[in-house]
Amino acid sequence: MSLVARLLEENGISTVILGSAIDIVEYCGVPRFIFTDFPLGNPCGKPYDKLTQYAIIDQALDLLVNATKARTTIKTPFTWSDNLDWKDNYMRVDDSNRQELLGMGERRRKAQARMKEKLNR
Amino acid sequence: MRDNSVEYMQRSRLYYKAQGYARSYRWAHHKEVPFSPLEKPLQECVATIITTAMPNDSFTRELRSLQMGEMKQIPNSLYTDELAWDMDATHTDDLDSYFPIRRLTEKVKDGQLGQLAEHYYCVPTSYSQRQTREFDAPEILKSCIEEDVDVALLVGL
Repeated sequence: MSLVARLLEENGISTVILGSAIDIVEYCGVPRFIFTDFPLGNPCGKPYDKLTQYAIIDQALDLLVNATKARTTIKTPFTWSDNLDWKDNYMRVDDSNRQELLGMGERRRKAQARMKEKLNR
Repeated sequence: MRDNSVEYMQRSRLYYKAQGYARSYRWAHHKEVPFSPLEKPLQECVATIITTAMPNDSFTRELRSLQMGEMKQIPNSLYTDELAWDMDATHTDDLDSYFPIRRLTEKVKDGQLGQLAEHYYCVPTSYSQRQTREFDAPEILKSCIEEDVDVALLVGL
């Protein structure tokens, strides 16, 4: 997404990225970013929460108009929940799932190898 | 700005290491960032949307390549199952929470935005950065130029 924004911007099209993975987007380096500190999946607002959705789109359009330099990030004022467990739980690795994750990786590698073999036939 | 936001790069490195992958993913990184200030009022701008979700049909699900959809035909949903998002904490049952086509359509009707481009774009994320840089992004740019797009909202899940 960030790479697409950069190419469009290099060619005169103003872009704004909406998202929640601020470390990845800012590491890449983009012109404008609307950051909402939500779980990944709802960059435009909470599901079925029209007020939040309108507000986030308004902020994105405002940023298109008002940004004066690259790497402008605006954080929206919304919080997902008082409970912050989702922040610890996403892609969690601990003793309770270490074996399961290793098994997932092995299955995935086998599936990828099968796919590669199929493509090479 | 980041406060206590999730460090996805670090989280991802540990997660895939635990899955047995020896080499961690190298995220794109640039010192220089291009910038094109908006040259005209939003009320005169043509806007498009670029998403990482895919059209919700079996053909494109399997193909996973760059797709275009018509802005005038608002989809009921997009396919998000294979993307990396927090399936435990949230859901993507509400299109408006990740693909703002209705919101932008309303902005056009309200006169706050000029018009929507003919197409929106679905960019697959399963490919390499090279695929994005050399094929998908140039293809989107070409189409945006043909449709006189002034502004693009990019919504990655």
